[in-house]
Amino acid sequence: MLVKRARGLWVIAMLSMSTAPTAFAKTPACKSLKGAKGDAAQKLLAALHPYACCDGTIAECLKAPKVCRLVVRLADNVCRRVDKGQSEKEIRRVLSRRARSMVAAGKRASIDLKDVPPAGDENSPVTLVEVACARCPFCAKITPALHKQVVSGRLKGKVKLYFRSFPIRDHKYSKEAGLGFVAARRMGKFWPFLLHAYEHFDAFSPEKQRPWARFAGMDCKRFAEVMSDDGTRKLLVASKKEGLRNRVKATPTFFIDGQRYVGELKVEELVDVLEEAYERKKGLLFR
Amino acid sequence: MRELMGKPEEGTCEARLSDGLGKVIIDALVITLLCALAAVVVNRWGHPKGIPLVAPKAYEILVPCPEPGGVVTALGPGDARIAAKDTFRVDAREAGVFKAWHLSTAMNVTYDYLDPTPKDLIKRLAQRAASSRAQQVVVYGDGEDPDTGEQLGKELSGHGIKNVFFVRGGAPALRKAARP
Repeated sequence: MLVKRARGLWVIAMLSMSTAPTAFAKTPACKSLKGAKGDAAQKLLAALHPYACCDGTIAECLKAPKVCRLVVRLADNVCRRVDKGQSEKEIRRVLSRRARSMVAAGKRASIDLKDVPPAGDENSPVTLVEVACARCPFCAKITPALHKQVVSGRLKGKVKLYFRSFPIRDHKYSKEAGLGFVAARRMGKFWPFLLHAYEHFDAFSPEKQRPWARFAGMDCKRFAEVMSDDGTRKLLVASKKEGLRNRVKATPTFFIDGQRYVGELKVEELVDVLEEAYERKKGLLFR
Repeated sequence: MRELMGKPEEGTCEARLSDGLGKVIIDALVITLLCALAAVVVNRWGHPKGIPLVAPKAYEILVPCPEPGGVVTALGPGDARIAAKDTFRVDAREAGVFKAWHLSTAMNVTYDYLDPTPKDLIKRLAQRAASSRAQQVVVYGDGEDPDTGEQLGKELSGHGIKNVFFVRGGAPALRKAARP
């Protein structure tokens, strides 16, 4: 009985090895998947279609002589998710939202980036705009992580990051913190101030902004003057109104080259999507 | 004596019950300890990654922060509901422009993009609307994009006020529509 069972298992194992597509070899995340997870990934790749550059399913596209980078990227994404134990439904939903973000459709957002300092190389071809509140806990986590990516990480030289303030009226001190951000921008120390403020997010109080301004290299008396200046308030209101015009309903909201991003709000996913945007812009989609 | 010592006499039913209970408790403790030990061993050597016994960082759920507000319906500047007797009208513009021109009986509640409208003002508005037996609240603002009327309408609706409408085009559209 046991021998029969072992023989059965051996046959299944050999079959699954032989049916594993050679295309898996082109995708690092898929290559490492074994057993049931490998089968699940294979099933998904055989059913899902990439939203650009190839008409077949992802599995079929991977077998093509000329493989599109997007297909490899999507296959890797699917396999990573399968490895993490995400359900088929969830993976399909995430990929569909990604497709909606990446396939240019509808009106592009109009965002005024004049006098707004970018993080990262300003000659980078892809423009990422983050619309966020200075008192939003999620923004406090994701913004420094993205900043790191564009300044010294995988997005260096590919993406420049802009920040537009959108104070959420229900957040305590969102106005004061937002005014602090705009004042720092007017004084040329936007990113050092923002990063320090987000790093000490839980310790925030309006009074603490002065020492934080000094830490960021500003004269704190001048900072207080600029903060209470009517021009600063006007800039903050203009930024908020711009967000409302662009149908921003929550923070953070991202726009990639003016296109609203509706995909997963995780740094790993955003980096993947932004690399795709870079490759697309540079005409590097095909290997 | 037995009552004072609290110890049952040997061989009685109480004594046997007491012994039995003690054994059950000891057995339960032993089984719990063995299970815990087995779990630790399996986690250490049987689990591919191993669940850390102490979380390396605090567990947190991060979700986007929504701009608060409810649902409002747009009305054209010529809509009959704006001038209806059972409508409570609210002007979302600044006090200066409100003084210069406003719809009759309109209440001025200036909308600010940065500060939330004071709760007592919203409460007063709700009370006035209720006492006037209004069936709907119509808000109009500066008519710009974004429109202060729409934004205030959303805020009022978000505070539980029902049947809130806003006038598309705001005060400029209303004035234009009123002209012969």
